[in-house]
Amino acid sequence: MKEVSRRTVLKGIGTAVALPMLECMMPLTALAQSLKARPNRMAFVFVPNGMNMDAFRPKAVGVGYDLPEILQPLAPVRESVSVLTGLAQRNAFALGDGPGDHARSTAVWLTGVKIKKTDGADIQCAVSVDQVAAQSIGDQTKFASLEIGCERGAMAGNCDSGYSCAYSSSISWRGPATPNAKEVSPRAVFERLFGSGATSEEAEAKAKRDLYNKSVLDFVIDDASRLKSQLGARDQLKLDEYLDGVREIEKRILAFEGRQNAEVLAGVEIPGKGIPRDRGEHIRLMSDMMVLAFQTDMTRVCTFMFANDGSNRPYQEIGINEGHHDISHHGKDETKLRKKKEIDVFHAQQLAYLLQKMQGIQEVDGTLLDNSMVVFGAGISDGDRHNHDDLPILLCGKGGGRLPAAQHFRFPNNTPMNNLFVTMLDKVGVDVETLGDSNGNLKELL
Amino acid sequence: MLAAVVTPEQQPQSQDAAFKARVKPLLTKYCVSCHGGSDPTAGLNLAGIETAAQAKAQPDRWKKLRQYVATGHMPPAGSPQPTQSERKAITDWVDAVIGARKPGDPGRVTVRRLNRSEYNNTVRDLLYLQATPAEEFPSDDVGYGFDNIGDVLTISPLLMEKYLAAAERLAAQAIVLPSSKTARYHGSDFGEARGSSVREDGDRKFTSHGFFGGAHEFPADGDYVLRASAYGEQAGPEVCKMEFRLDGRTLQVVDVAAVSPEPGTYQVPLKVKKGAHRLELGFINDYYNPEATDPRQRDRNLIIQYFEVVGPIGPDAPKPDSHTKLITMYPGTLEHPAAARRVIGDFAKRAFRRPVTAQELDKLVALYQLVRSKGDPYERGIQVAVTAVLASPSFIFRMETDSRPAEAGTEWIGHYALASRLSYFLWSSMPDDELFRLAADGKLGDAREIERQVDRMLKSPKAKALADDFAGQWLNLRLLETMTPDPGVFEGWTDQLKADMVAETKAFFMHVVQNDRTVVDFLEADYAFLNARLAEHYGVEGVSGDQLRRHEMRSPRRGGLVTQGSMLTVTSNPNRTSPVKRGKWILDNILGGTPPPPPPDVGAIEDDAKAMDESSLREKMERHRRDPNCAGCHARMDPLGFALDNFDGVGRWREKDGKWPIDDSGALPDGTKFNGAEGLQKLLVRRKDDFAEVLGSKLLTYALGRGLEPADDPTVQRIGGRAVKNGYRFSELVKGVATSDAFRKRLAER
Repeated sequence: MKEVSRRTVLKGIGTAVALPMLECMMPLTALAQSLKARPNRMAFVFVPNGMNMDAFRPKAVGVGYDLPEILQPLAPVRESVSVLTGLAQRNAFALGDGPGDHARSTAVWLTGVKIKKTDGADIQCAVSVDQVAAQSIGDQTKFASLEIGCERGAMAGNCDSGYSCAYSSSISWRGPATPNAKEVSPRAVFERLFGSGATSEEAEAKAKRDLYNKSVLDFVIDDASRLKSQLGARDQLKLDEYLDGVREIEKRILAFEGRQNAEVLAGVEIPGKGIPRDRGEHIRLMSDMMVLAFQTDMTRVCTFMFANDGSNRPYQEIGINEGHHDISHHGKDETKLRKKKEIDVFHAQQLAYLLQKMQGIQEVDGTLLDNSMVVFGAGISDGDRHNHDDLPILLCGKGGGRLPAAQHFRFPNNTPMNNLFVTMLDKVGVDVETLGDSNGNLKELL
Repeated sequence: MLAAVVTPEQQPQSQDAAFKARVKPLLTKYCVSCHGGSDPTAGLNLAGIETAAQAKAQPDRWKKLRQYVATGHMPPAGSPQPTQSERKAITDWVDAVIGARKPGDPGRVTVRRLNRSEYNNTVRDLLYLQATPAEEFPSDDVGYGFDNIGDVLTISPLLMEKYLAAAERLAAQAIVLPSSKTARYHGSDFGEARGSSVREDGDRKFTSHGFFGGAHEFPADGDYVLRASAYGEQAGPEVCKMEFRLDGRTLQVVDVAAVSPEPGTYQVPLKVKKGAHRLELGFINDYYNPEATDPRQRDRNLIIQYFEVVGPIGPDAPKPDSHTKLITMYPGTLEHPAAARRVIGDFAKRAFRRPVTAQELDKLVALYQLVRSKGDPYERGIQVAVTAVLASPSFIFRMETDSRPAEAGTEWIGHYALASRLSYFLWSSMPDDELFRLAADGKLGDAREIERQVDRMLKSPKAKALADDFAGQWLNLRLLETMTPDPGVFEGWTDQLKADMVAETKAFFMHVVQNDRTVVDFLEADYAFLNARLAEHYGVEGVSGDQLRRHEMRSPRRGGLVTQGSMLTVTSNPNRTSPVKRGKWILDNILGGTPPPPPPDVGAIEDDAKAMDESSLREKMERHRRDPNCAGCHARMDPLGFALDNFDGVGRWREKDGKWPIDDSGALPDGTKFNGAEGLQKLLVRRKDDFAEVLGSKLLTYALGRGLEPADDPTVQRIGGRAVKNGYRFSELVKGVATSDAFRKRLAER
């Protein structure tokens, strides 16, 4: 069974992670940072097709709120989980643009702007909260941000009622027309972060190789800049994307090459190639990668899509053979509501795995979970109504001690979700007046 | 006629006047009873519009309005309908005001980066490598149904990383470095020596007796080979003789009969002890006779390019094709990069799909020289230059920088860019030698030459890319690959069967393409490509084996795309059929006239069936359809889908859905009646002219890499019309696309 071996190869992570992390093992940047402020991480974890809200929404408000069925799996980490109800992404509603809620709510989830309905030309979204953070604090880590998920973008066809697939497969946006591609293979994430681990090059050979690669970068930057001047306006934007990409990589080489994580990685084995068929397995492996990236301070910002919105994948691993999207259009049918709840519980179990893993990592001051803010939720509230108010949202972690005690916050309905983002940005030291449709802070979280 | 359209910049007052005179009365007559007043439908109030500026302020809204009016979806059925010329008056005005392109103009394509399959195919043809590096790239976003749309293909840092890593890895795979067991000395090494001098290209030329060489450190006791590349300028009674020496003693003398431009390789075995030994090569039979009548018989000289020490001898890996085809010349040295310049230049030209500028080549050669200056071998220098080429935007993007002005406001796409447009359209890969040659000779300006190339290219094995990339997306085969029907409902469903279905449809498609069949075969065919598994699934007798083979179908139930398992499965839900999706698929891909998305604030109709024991799916659907908001479009989609309801969610024949018998009768809004798959296919064949246009529009979108607009309608009609006049042959559609203005020209940048 391949699936089994994929699990076992990663068992090592648990071992490495359980060891208390000595300061001498810490990455230099993290160490320097800890003198001033603990690195505060941000992650956004997305689930598709709304939730069974009756099984999500706690009845009690405040600390010590009750745990409805979907939140039950989070019991072991409930001290680090706040429930936020009443938040909305108003711009995910049609507002004259007709259907396409799945694509729209995905692209709006972290941006809070009205997106342009187009199948291709003139894609118009906005920089998402994770990228606002990445563009500000990302220079302190090798990777400004990490984008992962379990489903590739759509492979063919019209993605959602006249919206390009660029909208429906990306929550992270670098620029108004540039979604951030996500990685879906655990092994590829690992190699991206830490290299293939196969090289035992001599120092001299490596130095030469780095020099050549650097020269190749110089060559292509030069080439791109020269070509750009010969192109039309739209084409120039494409060359800008190219140049942005190259410069980001150049930055990594200049500032972060040679940073070793040998101690942390010593106990870690590389994930197997390929993608597990079992979605739980897949999510947990990707979670391991996210945790590893945070732990080694390769990045402090991550977005993670458990699935793409509108996904019609069946969840055969928990005995559900109908497509998730079909089920989410429950029409108040008891059976479908039950199955929807079961899928939501399944996703909550995976989140619990991620949070517990983060909690198991001791940092200089508190655990990795203590030093993080993990937003979990969906862009649609009820999958049948396709409404984008009263969204199911969790805020996990302690934000480096800058979040109030875990509780159920009930905000006035239609409070912009972007108010949460403005508040979170403030807590990682990024000062923005407004973001998307925000109209203030969530002062309850200040 | 077209020129009469006023442009907004020039004539704002006349636009306002035109609005008052012609458009406003129509809106008042047909629209404002709903779209007016204090609570206008969909929030669209047309009563208050007086000027063009108001429309200009909301271009998207007016584009949508235009679409609804042009396609007849507004005003809704049951309301008074404008005449065709009234509709045109509205759409013309909207086009002029929102600055739409003029009908028939070629448009302009945003520069496209290679998508994943283009990258893989290009690497295959460019490097002569069987590698699929793009499997590891993030997926390409899709727009207008295809993944080769310039506006939608973006580059993220993640993809850039993958590009760089792939470039380095591919260069290393394609070019093999001399193994550490080989040490090479070039003619230019060891400095000055008697009888010889180092030429411009780094070779050493002996014009009189002499030797060159030096000490070499042998790593171990053992057998070695001393090997040299050399040729002669022959004269006199003998051929050139070259002597190999070890520690001052003659090892062997060889006859060098080779002449320029094909040096020979000469080798001698030797057995040595570990440590430093002196190696020398020399020229020993100089000849000079200035009196000879034939000037070529006056002077005998020996040219040595390099020599190498190989060993200690063990098995040596053979060099891959990529290496021998890319590295066509040796040697090259730091000071004499002529060979490297040739090799790199030839490669860059093919990789960039256009001539390389001297400036570009200088920079690439400088990279090569950097590598040599660090003491790395010739091959490594080439490798690094190849890496740079593969990472550069000129390779990754399909730049179209060689266009030349045509009539007002447009440009001809340059010959090299056109060669690439053709090759990426039909092969998803770079141009081949013939296309490059035609581009260099400026022959691709001729439409007949383009048609000749289309015929040639469609017959090439590389045209299989059309099945993988065009048909794979047009027919949603790629989507099928990600689908997981419920094995509890569809017993016997396997991934193997799914793969067979994809292969079946691709084989069927390629049969039409490569035999240049009529595209009507797509609608109705009395043959299919089956193997034993598919035949059993379909209930067809007399097919055995794993291989797909052509089978003559005796039953009219199956034949043509709409009865293939791939289409029937991809339009189903995991546990049941979806007649709406099937109907929409037929409108999208065969008949055209896909309904626009439902008007704002009317939810998409859900064909979701509650428990199947209440009523049949069909009865439920028909209840839904009584809602007048939905009826207009669903009356066109659903009957098409229900005609196929005898095929279950994975394409098997069935007589009942659960306990409900299948009702496969259908009627379209225009009164056309038909029954079942057979009736549907007859209906589709009657509409074959529409199909030719729909398929033409898909091919045009795919070929151009941009979405089509109303201004492209005349082009699409011409493409369809050409095929109709020429037996509906597939190649006629392709030729219609490839010779269209949209394919060969573009709007100049304003």
